[in-house]
Amino acid sequence: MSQKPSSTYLIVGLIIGLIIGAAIGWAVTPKGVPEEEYNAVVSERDALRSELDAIRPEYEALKALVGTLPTDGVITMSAWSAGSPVDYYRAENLKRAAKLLETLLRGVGLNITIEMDSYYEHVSDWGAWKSKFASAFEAGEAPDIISGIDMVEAAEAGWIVSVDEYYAKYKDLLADIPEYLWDAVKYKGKMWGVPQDVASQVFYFRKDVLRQLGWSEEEIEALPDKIAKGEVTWYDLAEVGKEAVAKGLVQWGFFHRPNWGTSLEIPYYLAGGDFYDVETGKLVLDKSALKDMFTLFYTLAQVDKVLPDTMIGTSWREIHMGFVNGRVLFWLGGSWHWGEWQKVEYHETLGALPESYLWENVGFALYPALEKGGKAGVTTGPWKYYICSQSKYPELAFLICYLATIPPYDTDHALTSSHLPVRYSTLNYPPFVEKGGFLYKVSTFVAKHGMSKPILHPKWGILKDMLLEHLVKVEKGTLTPDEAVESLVNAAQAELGEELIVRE
Amino acid sequence: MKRYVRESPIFLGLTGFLKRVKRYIPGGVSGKVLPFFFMSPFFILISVMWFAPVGITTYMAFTKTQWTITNMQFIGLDNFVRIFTRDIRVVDTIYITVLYVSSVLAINAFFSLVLAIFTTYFIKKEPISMAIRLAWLIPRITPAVIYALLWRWFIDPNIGLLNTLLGSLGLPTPRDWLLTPPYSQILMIAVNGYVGASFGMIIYSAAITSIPRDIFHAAIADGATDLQVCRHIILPLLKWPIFFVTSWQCLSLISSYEHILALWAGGAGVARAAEVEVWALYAYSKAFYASEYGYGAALSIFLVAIGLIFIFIFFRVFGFERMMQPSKVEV
Repeated sequence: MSQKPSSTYLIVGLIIGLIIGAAIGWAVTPKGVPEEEYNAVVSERDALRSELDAIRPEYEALKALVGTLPTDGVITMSAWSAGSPVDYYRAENLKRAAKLLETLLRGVGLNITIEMDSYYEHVSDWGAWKSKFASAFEAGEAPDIISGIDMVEAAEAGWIVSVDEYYAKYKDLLADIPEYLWDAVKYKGKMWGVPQDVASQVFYFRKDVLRQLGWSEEEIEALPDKIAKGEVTWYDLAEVGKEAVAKGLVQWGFFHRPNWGTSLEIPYYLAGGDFYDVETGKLVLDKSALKDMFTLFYTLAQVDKVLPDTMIGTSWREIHMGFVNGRVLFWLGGSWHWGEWQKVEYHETLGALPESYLWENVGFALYPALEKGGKAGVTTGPWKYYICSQSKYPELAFLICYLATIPPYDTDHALTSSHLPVRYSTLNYPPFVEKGGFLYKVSTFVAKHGMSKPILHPKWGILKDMLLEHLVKVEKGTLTPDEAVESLVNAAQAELGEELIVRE
Repeated sequence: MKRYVRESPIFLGLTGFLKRVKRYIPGGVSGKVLPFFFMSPFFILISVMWFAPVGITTYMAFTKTQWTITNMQFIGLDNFVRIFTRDIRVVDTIYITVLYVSSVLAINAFFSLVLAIFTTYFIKKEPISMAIRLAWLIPRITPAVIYALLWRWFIDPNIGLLNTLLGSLGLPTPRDWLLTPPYSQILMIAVNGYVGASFGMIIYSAAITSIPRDIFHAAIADGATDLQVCRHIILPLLKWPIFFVTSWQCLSLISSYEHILALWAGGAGVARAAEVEVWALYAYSKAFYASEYGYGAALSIFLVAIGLIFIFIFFRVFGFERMMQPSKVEV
């Protein structure tokens, strides 16, 4: 009997003790981290984890390098990159990648320091860029990594090495880059470069001018879709351009680039032409498509007078200022111009434009079809890093090129330059998801309508010069489209002989 | 010779060295060898800077050298056969080159003479003459790319000063000076003439200034007009400077292209469409744009050959040798 009260006291005592303990615990427990701070830390941790996860396969793969490199010391490397004023991450990412590689190598026991001298140049004369590189190469002072030169020419000249060996070795890492981009670096059965970004042409139009012409918001928003379906053609837009010029809303209906480039080739491709025959490896001129292309530019410049006949040779700055300031209705541009307008002060009052201005006043679409119901489209292809044959460390150079496109770096370059990212995984990388609205939209229509047209012939440069010469003459009205086709074909046959296929 | 020169360490060192050299050379030979010894820096320089490149270029002209200049494959006369039988640009390029050289030469050799006489004889106030001469010298001291950019702005169809000026004078205004022949060719001549005229102007100005003033005074005292002074005194006395400037400029123009390249940048197609692609630029385009170094060398060999022919003509036909004698201005 005497045990019952003592067990009751014990239970009561325990309960009281628990209550007192809980009270003390409640009193001394910190009130906790504010939710925002907590979320920030968690998100930072996740980002770090995802970056680490992103390079874990590389880390594993790098173990294979042990034994092939010195165990310590300094490795000096250099790279030359080029592009528009907003493509500087092409160089910066190589520098970051070299640092990353250095860290990874230390992780596998190689105490190596990589000193990367990564040079960037805003190039507008690609011939001069090539000559500069060729001179450096002849002097034995070529960089380890080069970009912005013609791949076929560089391969034929022995300036660059095939990356087949490294591609095979690190194949598992490279699956993240779309197959069609790797196809674009193949020549004579070998791979010669590492894709860095994806260039896609974009046909821009001024929404504000269309509004002033009386178009409703619905009509403006529907224009890209109508262009994609072939319901609105080049010639329909020429009429719109004429109207805008006649009403004094713009000075010109259209602007195109001042030298030869892919955007000028698109009408030819849309007309069914090709400049390169994959089967034979020869250059091609399709007379019917050429005539369609020349007729378009002749009509715009000489008949409708909505395109200046002085376009070739005009400065890039004047061209961008013309469109950005609303003096031109349509611009045959590329996705990277969206980024350039946000970084370079082309606008006369606003300077560099905020993206919100562009969304409000500039629309974009595919390059239109030449006839109703015809095909609309854009060309797309990779920018490439190449490994120079004079590089002492071609494998390291390859890895640096590869690491320069891991999602965080790929994202920085894509968001700065408005080039499409080169990796699938970048499309799901949170910072890209957050800010890549324009590029998502472009990616969507590239996925549906993009045409990859690599021209893998060493004499393409000669044909390009001839095309430019004849385009000038057509736009000046010196030659009619028919005369231009005949003259071009004759000149090309005389110059290229058996290396040219002429199709009717 | 001044004592401080004779006793200077350099002089003593040099004479001592020559005495030592002479000791090893037989007496009769030393007189023949020593001039060559002193000329050796010049020979080395001209061998490295002229004979070697011409030799390599000549050999390259007989090869298929593509992409890199170290990769030469001997193909005999194929490049030359191609120039004469398959290259459809040759005739146009010759026409443009003849137009370019003759027109720019007229400015460089003869308009510069007018400028020199005008600024040295007719304008008596030196500051004004100096200002005019300086204006013509500016392009000479401006880097080629900047000079080309200035012209680009000057001729711009929309904002350029040239069309505005012509319009305000009531003259017809071709909008596009860059791409539309013959305006593009006029531009080519003006751009190069403006640079080249200053060379002749300086030579002629120096020559006119060196003519004794007494001759002018005597002529004027005898009742000669200024034009007669020019016709009967200045021009005859400037015979050799005129000849020197003409021959020098002719040889320079045959191989010049850099201002055309800078102004019509954007690929060979632009200069070709504007019909301003001279022979030297065509050779450059083939070598450095199309990477056909062998063919480019074959094209440029013609320029060397034409240059040598001109030098022969200058020496033999026009008596260039006499000009090499002392007293360039015969008074």
